[in-house]
Amino acid sequence: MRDRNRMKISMLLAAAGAVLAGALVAPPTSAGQAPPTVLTKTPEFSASAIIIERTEPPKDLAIPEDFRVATYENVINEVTKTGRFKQVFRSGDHRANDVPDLVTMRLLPVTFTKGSETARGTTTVKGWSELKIKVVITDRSGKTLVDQEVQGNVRFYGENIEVTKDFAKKAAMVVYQNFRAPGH
Amino acid sequence: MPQPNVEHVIGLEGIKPGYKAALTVQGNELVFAWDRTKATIPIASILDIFTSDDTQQIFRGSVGSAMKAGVPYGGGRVMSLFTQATQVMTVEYRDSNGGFHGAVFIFTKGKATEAKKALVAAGAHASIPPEEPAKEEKKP
Repeated sequence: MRDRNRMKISMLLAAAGAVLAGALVAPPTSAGQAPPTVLTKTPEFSASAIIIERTEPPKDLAIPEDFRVATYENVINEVTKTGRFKQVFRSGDHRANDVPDLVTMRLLPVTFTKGSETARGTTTVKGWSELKIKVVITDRSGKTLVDQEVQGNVRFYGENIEVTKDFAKKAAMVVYQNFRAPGH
Repeated sequence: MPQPNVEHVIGLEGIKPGYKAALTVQGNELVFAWDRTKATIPIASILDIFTSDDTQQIFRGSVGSAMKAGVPYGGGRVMSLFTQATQVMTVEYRDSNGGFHGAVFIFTKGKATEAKKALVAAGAHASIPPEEPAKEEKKP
């Protein structure tokens, strides 16, 4: 009886040790490094060019200018990397006027929390940076092709502005999932 | 002699994020250059300039994170408390095709205001005028 109890205790201790070891060995899951999304559906749209408009937050939502600009620049970089369009135009580029199948991407911020790198570093549960933006893609006629909220986060390591990069990667994934590569 | 003490965050074509260089006003251009790397923004194309105060971790980047993770008994958390005051400058401009660009730079405290003043003096547009430094109080 005593042996059986001893065995139970040692098994429990071993299980607890395994869980603890797993937690120590496993890399911290920063939300800035989201697992790659599995493509489950065939992209239904195609266009040769996209124009990405400037991030325009509503008047009651204060987003620092550096975060707005970094969001816009990161989205341009990440959407270009998807390879879904022959041309990616910046807001105001007059060359986009000549593209018949141009689609327009608008970024409409919903919520923003700047967070604190110091609070994240010291507590690990506070100071998260979060940026939620509605991604709307329309065609020339104004028909909405994509309308989806995307959230970027920094929950552990990284500077606050990295939240814009995380958002941009996820927004580019939305583009990748909804648009076919040119010529397909 | 300008020093490479300004960090590029994002926005300049051909310059990697985190690259440090000197930011100067030369003639009609804002020049970000060090060694063989150079990027310019024509001052006439600048739409607006913004500055803001911020802080930066002293132990930062992948090396800083590795150092924090390597300190036993949660000592890395203490390292997160070491920060330095910085200033961020955002420059919005248009390219020759009308495309909107934004570039973000990190300066040591107070230097972004100086850079903004130099740009405004050279003819750049800024919707918010550069802040004046606090006047020194004098005894009566």
